[in-house]
Amino acid sequence: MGFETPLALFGLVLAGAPIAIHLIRQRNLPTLTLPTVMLLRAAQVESRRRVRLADILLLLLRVVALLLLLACLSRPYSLASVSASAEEAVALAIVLDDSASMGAMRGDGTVFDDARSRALAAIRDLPEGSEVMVVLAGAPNALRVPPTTDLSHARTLVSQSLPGGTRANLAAAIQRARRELARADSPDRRLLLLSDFRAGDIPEGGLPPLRGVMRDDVRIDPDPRLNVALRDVLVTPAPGAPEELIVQVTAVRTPTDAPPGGDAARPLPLRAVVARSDDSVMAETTFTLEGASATARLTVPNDATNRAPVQVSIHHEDDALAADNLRWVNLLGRARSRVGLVNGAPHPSPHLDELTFLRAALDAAGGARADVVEVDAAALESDAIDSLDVLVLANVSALNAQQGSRLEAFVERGGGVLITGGDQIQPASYTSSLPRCLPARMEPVTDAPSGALVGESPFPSVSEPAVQRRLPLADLEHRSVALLRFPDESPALVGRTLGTGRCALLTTSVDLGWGDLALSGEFVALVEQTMHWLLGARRPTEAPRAGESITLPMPSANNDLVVVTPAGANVRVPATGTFTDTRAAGPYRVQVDGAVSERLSFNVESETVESDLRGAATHHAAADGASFEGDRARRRSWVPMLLLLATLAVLAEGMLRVRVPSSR
Amino acid sequence: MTRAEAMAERRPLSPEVAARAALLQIRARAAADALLAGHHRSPRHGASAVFVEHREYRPGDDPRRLDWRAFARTDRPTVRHFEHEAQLRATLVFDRSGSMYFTDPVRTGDPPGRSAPPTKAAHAATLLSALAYVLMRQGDAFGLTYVDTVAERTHPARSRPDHLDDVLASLASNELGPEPGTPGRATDLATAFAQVADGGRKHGVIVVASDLLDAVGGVHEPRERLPWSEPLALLARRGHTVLVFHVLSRTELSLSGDGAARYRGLEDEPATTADPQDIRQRYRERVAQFCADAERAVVEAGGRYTLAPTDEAPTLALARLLRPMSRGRR
Repeated sequence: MGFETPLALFGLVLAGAPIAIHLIRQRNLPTLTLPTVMLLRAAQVESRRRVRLADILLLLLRVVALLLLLACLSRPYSLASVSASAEEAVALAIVLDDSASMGAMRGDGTVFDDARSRALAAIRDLPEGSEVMVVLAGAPNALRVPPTTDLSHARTLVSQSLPGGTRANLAAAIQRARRELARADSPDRRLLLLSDFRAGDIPEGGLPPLRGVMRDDVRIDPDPRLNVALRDVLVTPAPGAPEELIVQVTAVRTPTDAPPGGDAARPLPLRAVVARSDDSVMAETTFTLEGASATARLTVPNDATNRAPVQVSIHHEDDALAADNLRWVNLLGRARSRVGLVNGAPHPSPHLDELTFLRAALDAAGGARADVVEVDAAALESDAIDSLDVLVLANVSALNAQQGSRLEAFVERGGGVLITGGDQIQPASYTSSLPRCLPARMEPVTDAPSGALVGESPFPSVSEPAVQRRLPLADLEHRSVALLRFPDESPALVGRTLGTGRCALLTTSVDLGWGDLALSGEFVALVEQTMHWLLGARRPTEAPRAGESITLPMPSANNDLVVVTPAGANVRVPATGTFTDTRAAGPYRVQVDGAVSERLSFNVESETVESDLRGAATHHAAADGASFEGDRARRRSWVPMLLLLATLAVLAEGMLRVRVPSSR
Repeated sequence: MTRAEAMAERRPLSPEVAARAALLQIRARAAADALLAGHHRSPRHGASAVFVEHREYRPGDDPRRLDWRAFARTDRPTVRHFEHEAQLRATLVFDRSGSMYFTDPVRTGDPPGRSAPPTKAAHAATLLSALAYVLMRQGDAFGLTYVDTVAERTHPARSRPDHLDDVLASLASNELGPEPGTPGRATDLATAFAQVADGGRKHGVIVVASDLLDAVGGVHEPRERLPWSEPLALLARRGHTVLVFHVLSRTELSLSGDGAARYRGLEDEPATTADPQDIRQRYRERVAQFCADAERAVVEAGGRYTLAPTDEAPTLALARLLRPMSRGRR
């Protein structure tokens, strides 16, 4: 039971007014003389009991009527429990919040554990023949249990549910549940909402109302602890030590309902760990979070063993939410890639063959991570290139329209294309064939300025290369970035992003025809970094958020794409390539025809907004773990009943006043 | 103005009542003759020849008693007055208990300037005075006795002309009642009537003006024998004729008034709180039953009873009480 305007309850003291008036009137009664007072007393003897009873009844009725009317002002209402057992079959929709914050600690388990137990109990208490459905409230919502009368099966599905890494969208989940309930057979429709009701869960304007549905909101609070979250992970090569990588970890302190002035203010000792998927620790360090955020640096080996995603995590002994302390990253970008080389000017002399130095550089830089294959130019017109991760067009003279469109589609779906210069290049052909992919328009060949090539970090600079000729660039596309520059600042290597892929253009040759770049000591690093750039369209921090749908670049319509979720479930990807089951944070492995594709595999990060563990203000009044009103439609107002009772009391008082004197 | 001066100025017999009483004198005397002839037969009736005086003929006098000689001599009708005609002895009993000094409050609906109704004592005094006046005019002897818890015979029965003045003066001195703030006398009518019976050895008429409220007797239950009925019956058995003016105020009869109030008596009865609106009907039934029981007690004692409300003209009560006596005579 509750009151919409509880302050009006103070008005109940006015109910004492009739009693006070009665007492005052008794005290202020006039005294009259009457010689026949004995007869008056005798007359009273017969009716005294009745009169006294009538007086008490009158007083009682007046007090009751006043009490009822005053109580109406406080607008009381009752809250019938949705989970209360019913005798007849009901339709119960359970909205189970599986957002990331539900993984917060509560007692010996998590908030989600508690919510799941309540959901199971609610299903268990349903009468025979009841229909149940379960909607997961993480965004996007999901129908975990479609409407079913098989309560045992529903319990099994619910018991297997786990909290995800998504943000909550209670409003959408309630609407979904409402739609499902509308199709239910039973007229007794109920909705049980189980959530922690954190700050970001309640939309502005509150949750949507429900008509004809008895709704019960159950708020389950996490333990009032402090919370730290892993906010960013940045992996960079160690300066001067190519065999090492630096993992930079940023931790932040997030708001909670923990009492202020305690742990929320003191420095927190944290531990940062980089571990492999088999939990073997690669690097570990401790650091202190003194303010709002702190950064730790860890060094890990840069070798072929780091192909699989690794776990980067922070730890604190009294942390409220563990889900936001962990992130899966690929230290080396895609662990293993397929690089296709198209030789535009084969030459019997190795130093004049376009691919001699390129293949050697690829082998030296990442031979363990890349499979290098030579592709015929004719293959550019087929879907054979879709199985590649990077395609290098080395001094390929011209492209027809079909080849151009295939290449652009290849890039849009996440592939990488590198175009290297040479004497065979016909700039006009490229300009017309790759209108969306080229970073800039190529001009006819000119002499190149002498001097060192300056690389944009992390691209290496090339000291004193003897580059004699180049393809000057004009009309750089606004999204293009210069990765390597000539001494006159003109771009030597320029790239751009198209779709989920990238395209780069090296304005000089990779053989010795236009210079001795291939002979420089930085050539291998330059090739490796270029491959990295082409392969790594995303930084780890740019990984999709939990709940976001991903469009995977389908190698071909005939390929079988299967995504292995962090929980180990295999999900087949439809022909559209759209994958939506990203509720859980972690590594998602993509298999193409049974083989893992490093290029298509991805990591999903949990929603950072879920790290805010403050309770929603609009639901603060509800006790932890207790049911409370979901909306006005769910409330059963007592006002009509109280008004009816007050009217009856007034009528009874009037009738008593009329009848009693006449009977005396 | 002192109390004595006030008493001196007051006249228990208002001119209006006196005039009305005079008009009733002829019928009243006829009724009294019939009553006394029927109930107080004297062995000397008709044989007495003791002349007392002559007096001027007045309408209603028996023409047979005209003294034709004196009429012829003086040319004025004169009747002879013999001693046997004064053998009627009336005892006027005046209840001076506290309850008799109650008066109705001025009602809100009364016209402005209207005087307050008389107290019951004043009304009773008027009634008895009128009767004394009639008796005196008839030459009958009458005395005065006050009753409360006891009987006090202050004026033995006499028929002298100045006796009326004494009686009226006594009544006037008792109609005002006790000083404000002092409790009134209690009532024990049973004892008082018994004492009246013991004192009245000669046959006569006992005229009582009382509210018959007997605080000592306690609460009267309906149809219960009233405590004073036995002494009253004793009076009857001793040859007395009892006439009772039951004097009550309109408030006592009807319990007028609105709103709850605390009611107290005038003879130290326990007070009670009541709302007339709630109790009026039952109270009226109670009062009516009380009056009926009182009338029954009087009638059973061979007497006459009439209710004399204070807001009613006293002549009406006198007429009611005397009319039955005259009817049988005529």
